[in-house]
Amino acid sequence: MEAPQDAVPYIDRTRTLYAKTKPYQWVRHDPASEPPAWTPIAKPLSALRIAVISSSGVHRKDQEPFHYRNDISSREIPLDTDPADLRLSHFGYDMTDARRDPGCVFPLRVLRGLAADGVIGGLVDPMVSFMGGIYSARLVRNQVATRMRDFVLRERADLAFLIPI
Amino acid sequence: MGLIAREIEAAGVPTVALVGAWDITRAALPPRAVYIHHPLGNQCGAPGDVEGQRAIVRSALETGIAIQGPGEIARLPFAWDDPGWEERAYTPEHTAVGPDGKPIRD
Repeated sequence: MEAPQDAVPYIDRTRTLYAKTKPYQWVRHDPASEPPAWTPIAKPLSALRIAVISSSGVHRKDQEPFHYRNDISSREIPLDTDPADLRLSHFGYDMTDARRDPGCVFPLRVLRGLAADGVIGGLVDPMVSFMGGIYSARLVRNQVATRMRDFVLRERADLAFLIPI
Repeated sequence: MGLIAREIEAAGVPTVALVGAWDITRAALPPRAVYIHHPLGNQCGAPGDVEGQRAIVRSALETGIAIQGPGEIARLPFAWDDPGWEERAYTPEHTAVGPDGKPIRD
């Protein structure tokens, strides 16, 4: 698959931006030898109960913020959270817009609307957030991924909607 | 998040990822990804534009569940209304912002 010509070369720019620090090790999987698992989707969108996982670093103002390097903790954001009570802590992206409106990265408000209108079947309560700038793929694989997997299974979600940053 | 998508999908729950970094996504290879040509930090749209955010999220879900095979990155039909943003994204003047609101650099 060829990259779109207009896509930003984030991996190259990260290397340039943080040239003086230990390089971020991007996870790479070979399409031929390491294809992703595949689970068919058996229902229409209007029947899917969706678990939402964001790595935007969003949290409620009454929750502990994320710290910066290798924070592998996560936060539960109840669906009835007032979007005005959301805050963000992350070091890996320009949060100017998201700090004005967390909906730029964490679509709590519009997903609640899509559920209320029957466009989606429903939402798992809570939504879950963590801080995506984790330098250790081992920590993500062994701790974050398994925690998120267990959350989705425990909640019997039909689909996990992931919004990575 | 690619590792997380792969782990969840392997446990029997389908996943859709709404991504803004095509190259990182291609490397990590999640099962289903929908790419939006917006800056990182605006995958769901512009601040205050609730209708636009709703259209993006709805399109991401509809497009994502229609993907037919593992590893596909589908492109959403949205464009970011700031000409030349691609050249500025993730450069020292437009990069990560710390808790003090200033860019983080080394």
